[in-house]
Amino acid sequence: MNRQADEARARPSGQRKIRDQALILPLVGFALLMPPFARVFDLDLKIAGVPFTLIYLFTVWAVLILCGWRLSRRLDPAPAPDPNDERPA
Amino acid sequence: MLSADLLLLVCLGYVALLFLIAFFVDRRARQGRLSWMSSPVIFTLSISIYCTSWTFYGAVGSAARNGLEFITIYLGPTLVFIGWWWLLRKLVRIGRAHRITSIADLISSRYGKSSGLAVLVTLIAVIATTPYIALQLQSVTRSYEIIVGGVNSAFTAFWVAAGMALFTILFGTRNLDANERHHGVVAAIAVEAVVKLVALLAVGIFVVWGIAGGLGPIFADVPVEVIHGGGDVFSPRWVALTFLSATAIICLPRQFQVTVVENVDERNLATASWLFPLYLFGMCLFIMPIAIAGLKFLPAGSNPDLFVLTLPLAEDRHDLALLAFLGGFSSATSMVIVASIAVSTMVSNHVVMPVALYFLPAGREVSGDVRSLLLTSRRVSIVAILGLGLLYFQLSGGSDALAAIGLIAFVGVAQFLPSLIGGIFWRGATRLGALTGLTAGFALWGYTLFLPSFGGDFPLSADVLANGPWGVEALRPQGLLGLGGGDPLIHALVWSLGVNTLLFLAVSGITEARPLERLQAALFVDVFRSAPGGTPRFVEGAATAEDLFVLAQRILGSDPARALFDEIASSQGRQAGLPDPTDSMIARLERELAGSVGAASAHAMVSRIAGYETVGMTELIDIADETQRLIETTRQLSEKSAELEAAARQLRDANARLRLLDTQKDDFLSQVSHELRTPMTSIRSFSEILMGDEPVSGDERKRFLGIIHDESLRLTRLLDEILDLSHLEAGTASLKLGPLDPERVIDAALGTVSSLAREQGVEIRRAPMPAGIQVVANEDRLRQVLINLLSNAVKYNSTARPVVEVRPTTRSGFLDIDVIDNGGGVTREEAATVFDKFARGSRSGRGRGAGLGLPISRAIMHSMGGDLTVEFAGNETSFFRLRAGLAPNLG
Repeated sequence: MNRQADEARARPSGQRKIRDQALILPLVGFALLMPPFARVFDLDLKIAGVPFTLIYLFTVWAVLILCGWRLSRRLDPAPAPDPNDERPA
Repeated sequence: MLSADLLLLVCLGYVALLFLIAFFVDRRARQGRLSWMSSPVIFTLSISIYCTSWTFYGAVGSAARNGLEFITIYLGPTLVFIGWWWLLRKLVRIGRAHRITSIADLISSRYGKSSGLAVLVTLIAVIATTPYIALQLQSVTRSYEIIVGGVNSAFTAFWVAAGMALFTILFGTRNLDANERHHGVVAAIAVEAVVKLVALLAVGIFVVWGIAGGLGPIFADVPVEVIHGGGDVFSPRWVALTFLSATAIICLPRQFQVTVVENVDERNLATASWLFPLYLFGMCLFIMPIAIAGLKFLPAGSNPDLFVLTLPLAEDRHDLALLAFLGGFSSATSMVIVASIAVSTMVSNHVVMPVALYFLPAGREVSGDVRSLLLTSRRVSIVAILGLGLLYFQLSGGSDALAAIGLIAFVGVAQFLPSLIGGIFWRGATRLGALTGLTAGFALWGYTLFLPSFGGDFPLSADVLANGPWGVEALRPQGLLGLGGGDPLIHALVWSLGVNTLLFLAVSGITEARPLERLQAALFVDVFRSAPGGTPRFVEGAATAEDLFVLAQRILGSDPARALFDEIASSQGRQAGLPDPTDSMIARLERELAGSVGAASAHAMVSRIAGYETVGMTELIDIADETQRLIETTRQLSEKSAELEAAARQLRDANARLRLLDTQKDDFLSQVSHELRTPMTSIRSFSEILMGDEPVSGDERKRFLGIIHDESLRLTRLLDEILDLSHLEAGTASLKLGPLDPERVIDAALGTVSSLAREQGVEIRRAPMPAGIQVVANEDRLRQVLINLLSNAVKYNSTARPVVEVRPTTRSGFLDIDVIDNGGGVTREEAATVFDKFARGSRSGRGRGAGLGLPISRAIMHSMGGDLTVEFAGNETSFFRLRAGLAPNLG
């Protein structure tokens, strides 16, 4: 287990905080990618030749993936032992 | 043009490679060496069957037609996976805990192992999957055509379908795996996932930097309509499509198969939560540039659905075209393989098995092998599903209408959503609710979306589409109740899913769940709180272990069945023979069988042998039930609050006592100062007279001085008494106690008061003292108390012939000395306060004593281990009783 997960478990509110973040992240993502919020960034300009709307969508997407990656390392699934795997191989 | 032979060779080589990989991995899995197969990367790659050829070719086509809209199909799954902790994790946990084999199995299990629901879900899945398979066949044949040139498309499609059926049967139905997992298949589709990603990225990079010369030139002078798809990109359709794709990633049978059923380790989800969105991100990165390049560089009228292939071909890059073809081929085959496994599992478990069970006689006389029946039915189902897909492809003539089938299928499987989500988060969801919602949603989907997608040929005529059946405008398939006009997809989505959800909620709200439903609801909704594997099961009736063993053999095969029973037997502590058919053993067996035939069928089979299952309400309460936990918590809480209440009450009492004491202290102080004030006032006034200028005669002077002296004495006595009392009450005055003769003390006391008695004309009578007793007391103090009592009795007796009697008696280790006078004593009300400080009885006049005598006397008796009380005789006259402890050696 990595250090962050240990830290998160060390603080009782840590895991709950991260779980809250895990719930909030898709909601924030949804809000950013959906109208009316996304419409704000639907600008008629280009950055390095690429339309801004395209850049906006892919940037939000990339940030979501990045946050998801960080969260997934800190969330601790602690799965119960699988009752179905008790059979000998 | 690439030669047909070369393409065929590459194709066959690629397929052979996939077969080899699947074969190799399957063999490793049998040997139990599979650690790398359970890696999260393999898991993520297997989920990527979400990207079918509809993505590989179709996304570019969609981008060319509708601009950015294609992204929504990938944003929905991204959001679901990023929020994995709340939904997917629960699905996977439930899937593992209950050995779920398909989405139909999950829904039927949740609603009391209902076979009706399982059949309905299977039916919807088959209807929604078949056109999707046809779409994959179409894309493979079309891409083949594009590269090789005119070929018989029916011929190609047939062989592609046959090849896929062969692969699926070989690796998807080799055995009835207890977990319904197919490691060989998963390995093969993981390889295919890499191929399609690499192919699409390669084509994208080639198009952007090879053909156009950078991103800038690609997007240069591209009208905004191309990006926006000719309108407002962030429209309601944008939201609807995102929602739909989010639903599809959960509800598509093949996605459920890879995410839940084939998942080896729950922790894989944590990695997939970001790696799968990253995969989708990679797939989408070059879609828009490829679409724009196709529009720019290819001749007008080229099919945008094949830009991925035609762009490299137009530039004579045959190697890239071949790679792109393999990418498309991979996308199509992986989807078809997993979808046909998923659907065939449903069909065999939920349609064939129940029918077989119905026709097979109950009990052990069953002839034939259920196991081989299952495998055969599954193989036949695979062939049938692929055959249906092929038929659909031939009938639809490879029309462009097929391209829309992806979203139509999405709306179809979205009908599972209310029952699925409601089932795992809401205990109140009932089987009837799910059944009604699903039926209505399915019917509305068919009427408003699926049937119209045939374009007015079949079975709804163009006239019906335009004007409604029998010319009833309100029933127009794409404008129900006049709500048309907009996007038919959104119209169908809102109607089917809306009615589905409403009916599901409403019917669940008014119907009662059966006991088994409630049990399953509790187990599903509280899957994280239940003890793992402890599926309770209550069986009435006797099952014999032999019958169960025969059943297990038929389904699992004889060796796995033997291994399972041996293991259960050893866990029961039996060295040899069959295990006892206990509840837990039967529940375990049912779970094992559910992994092969689905919960409903396993339940039905085991119940047939084990007797009819009855789950009573009392037993339900014993289950790891939230109600039970709530009751427990409430009980603890109320205990706590009762404790708190008791503590608070004690505090309140203590507070009240303190307040009382405080008042008493205030009263005492004010009384003390009052008592002190009276003598002080007379001392002060008489000394002022003496010091004044007015002449005072010698007699007067003497009298005044006498008063001052008397008052000073009274003051001193008062102060002494107060001090005495406070010492006694505080327990600081330690009295020297010893055995003494009470007779002598009474004599002394009577001697003291005798002159006063004579003066008042009071007769004192005396009863004889019991012989030879001694009391433990302090002589001086005891005498003081007696004198006090006697002088009170003498002083305050106003009868004509006053008599005071002293009557000693012994009782139970004490000597009681009653001081009785014929003056009537005190009333009962007075008795309560007679021992209060400064209290004076009604018989005493003002100024005769400070009212401290009795409190002091009582305090003395208390500190000597005795007591002083007011007693009442039969005629309501009262007297004082002095009680002293008898000396033990003589008592």
